[in-house]
Amino acid sequence: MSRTPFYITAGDAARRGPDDIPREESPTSGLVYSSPATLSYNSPGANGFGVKRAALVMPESVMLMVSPGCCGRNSTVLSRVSGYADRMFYLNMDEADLVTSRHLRKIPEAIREILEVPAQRPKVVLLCVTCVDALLGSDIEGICRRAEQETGVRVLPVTMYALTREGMKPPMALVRDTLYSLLERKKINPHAVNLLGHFAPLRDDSELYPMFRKAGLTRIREISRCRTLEEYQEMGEANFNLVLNPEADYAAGRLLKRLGMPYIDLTRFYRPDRIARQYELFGAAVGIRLDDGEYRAEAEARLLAFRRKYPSLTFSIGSMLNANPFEMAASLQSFGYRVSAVFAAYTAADLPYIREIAAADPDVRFYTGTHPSMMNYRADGAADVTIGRDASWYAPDAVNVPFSSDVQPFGYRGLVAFLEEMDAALEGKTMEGNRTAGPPAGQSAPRGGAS
Amino acid sequence: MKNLMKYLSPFAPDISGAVEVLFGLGGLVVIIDAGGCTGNVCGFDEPRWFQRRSAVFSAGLRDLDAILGRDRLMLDKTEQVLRDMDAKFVAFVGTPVPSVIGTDFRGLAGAAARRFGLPVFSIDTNGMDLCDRGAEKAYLALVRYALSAAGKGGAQKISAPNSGNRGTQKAGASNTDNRVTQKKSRSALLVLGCTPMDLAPGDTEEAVRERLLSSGRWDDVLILGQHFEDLARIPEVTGSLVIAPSGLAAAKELNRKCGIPCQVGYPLPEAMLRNLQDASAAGRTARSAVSGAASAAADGTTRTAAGGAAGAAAGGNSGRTLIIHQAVLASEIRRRLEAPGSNLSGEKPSGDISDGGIQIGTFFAAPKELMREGDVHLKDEETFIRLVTEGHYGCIAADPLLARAIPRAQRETVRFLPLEHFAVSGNTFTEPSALQ
Repeated sequence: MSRTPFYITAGDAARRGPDDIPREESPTSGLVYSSPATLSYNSPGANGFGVKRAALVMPESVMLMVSPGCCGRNSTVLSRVSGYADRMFYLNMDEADLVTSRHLRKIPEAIREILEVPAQRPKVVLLCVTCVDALLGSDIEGICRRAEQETGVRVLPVTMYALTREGMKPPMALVRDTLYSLLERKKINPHAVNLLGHFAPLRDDSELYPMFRKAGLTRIREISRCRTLEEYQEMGEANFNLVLNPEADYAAGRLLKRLGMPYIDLTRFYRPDRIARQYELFGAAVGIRLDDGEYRAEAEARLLAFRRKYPSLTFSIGSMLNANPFEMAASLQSFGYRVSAVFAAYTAADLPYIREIAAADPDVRFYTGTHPSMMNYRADGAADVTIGRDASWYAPDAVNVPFSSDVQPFGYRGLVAFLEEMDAALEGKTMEGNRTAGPPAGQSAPRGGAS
Repeated sequence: MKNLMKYLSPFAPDISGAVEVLFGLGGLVVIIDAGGCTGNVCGFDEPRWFQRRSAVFSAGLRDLDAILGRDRLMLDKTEQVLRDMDAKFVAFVGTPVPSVIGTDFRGLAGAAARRFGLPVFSIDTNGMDLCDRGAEKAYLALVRYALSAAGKGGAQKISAPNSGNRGTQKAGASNTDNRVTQKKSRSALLVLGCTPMDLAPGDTEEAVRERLLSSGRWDDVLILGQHFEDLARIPEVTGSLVIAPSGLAAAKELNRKCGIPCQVGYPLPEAMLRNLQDASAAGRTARSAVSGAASAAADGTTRTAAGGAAGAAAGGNSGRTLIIHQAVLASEIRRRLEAPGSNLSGEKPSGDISDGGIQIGTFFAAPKELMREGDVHLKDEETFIRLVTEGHYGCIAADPLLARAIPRAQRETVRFLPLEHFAVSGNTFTEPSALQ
């Protein structure tokens, strides 16, 4: 009888390679354990952007959610916390709807009614449907087209199909596609670039903005900074798209196919040498030179100062943070720190980082938070600092650095932001003699075994 | 438009109600979903989930699981988890997905019970009903199991009538007439409907238990849903008390099969009543200020639906009062407010909250035992808006989220007394920071 939580060491994971990843790393291999640390897996909107909040990034839009009441229940809380309550409307299904699909016929009338509610008439209605319509095989695209004809407002499908989460087109990839689906090709502006991937903008102090401008890319656009549909449409003049989150690759591919808008992926790194190398390669690919010297120097100086101030720390890393947890672990090791555990399932794409982690310390443990055996996890006190909102659940006595803001860090300035957030948290601990940031407020972390 | 929510947002679904009843019993709870329902139940409708460990799992269904109906695979996964824990039972809780694909809940429970050798509860919730319906199904499952385990599935009556409870109302079959006031030796009361979802604002299960014990009428108070071991004692309890409609069906079944007298009522926390009275008084003072009879500011706990003092001043208690919550609690508040001389200050002043008459309304179950003529079962937002528009209410006591749906004209005239209901607002008020 197994009573210990499943984990694999970095050494084992590196040795097994891409063809022998343990089945426990896949959430579908067993029942999915529900703890506050895994809330974001089951309910991505709980601590960031889920499908609904993400779709509402579309300017001048409202959402009509057509579903059983349970699907919209979290919006009761989240829409108020996140401030989009006035843009959410619900058409609740009943059992007769399941049998007859009559709920689909009510949609145009519902849209007409909700258009009258906001002080300013919305220009786009996002029609959000869920697993039920996936199983019923409802023709949502067709329904949107008919609703557009009947109501005179743009209606876009938003499919919150949790059943397809590990499929080729998971909900968070499709919602990005929806967001860019209204773009029309304008005359190409060689100075224009779109940043795709996030639902909130990059930090205002990101070096991307001044570096790009200096290199001639003077029109840098992000959907989350567009206040009107008119501003949004200006993204149609971009020379190319820059994908900052691989979940936007599908949307970028569709823009390439539909509008002939090419795209390039940039990865978020926290090691200065990697950041520098990527900028170099990117510049070569698009035929510009990115002058990153001063930003790199600043980041390395801040890193050096941090290391002098905190020469010896042990970290554990969760999965709810603005970083790839394995890249973060490898980066921290390269800074001279110890990593005791990573609470995230890995895929083949993470293996380059895992090999680095294993080379530095093959005993680093990788836990899968959703694995059923995690109900038996007990904090071991190994970490001084936890990174990621969920990580505090696993190590309640360590200093927690959530590093999971909506506004996105990137590049050298992303590293600086990370160091600043860590320093603030550690200073807080020193001053109070206590942890400054534990689990999300109102949550307490496990100290004993499963009851 | 029926079922359209333009101002409100969905209330707690039946899935959450079922899980709330089962949550603290030490079982393995499997929500048959793709993950989102589990996230909603745990993260937004079950405050205890943040405070203590439990074994709530999502079945993690994917499209092919749903299309092919892979119940055996789900049982395999369940068996795998059972190796990692000492579960007292297994519960399968339905969602819209099994509802669409027609999962055979009874067959699933039978197969699981044979395979695991544990009690198995199969709750056919669908995500479209409200939480009280799910809780009702879970209570019934527990009571039926308890009676079956005790060999009392048939009509067997317990001879001793049980004690009464001031402030409760009779309900159910003829055996509910057996109200006695003297305390029996080792008398035990079974409380049903006592989950965070339907408690009075600020109340807790333990506080309910303490208040009942401190009344001195019972030697023991069992809250159904707190301890699995209590199930074995159910056939021997001397009475049941239903504090939310979700417990009524199970209490009636106990009455029918074991003769256990059933009462309906809520042992109200006195502080909550005081708050309501204070809020009412503050509103009255504000109205007086407008007429020049006095000068005072509106109390912070009382506000118009629009949120300001002006409306309170303009409206006051010119009309009836509408109390919206789960039906037992709303009914109990009305009963206490209407009782002569029962106001907490000892003397009932004119212009009291109850002067214009009190109606109750509920979005949840409305048992006929509790509803009077004029009381309203609110089927959806549209019904609520029409009621408020046409009802000529001077005061509405309800969850603050409902204020959003009060039409503009009424916002200026109706006083709004906050009466939080977790099943409506979730942890919007109790733990807003949990998700920030």
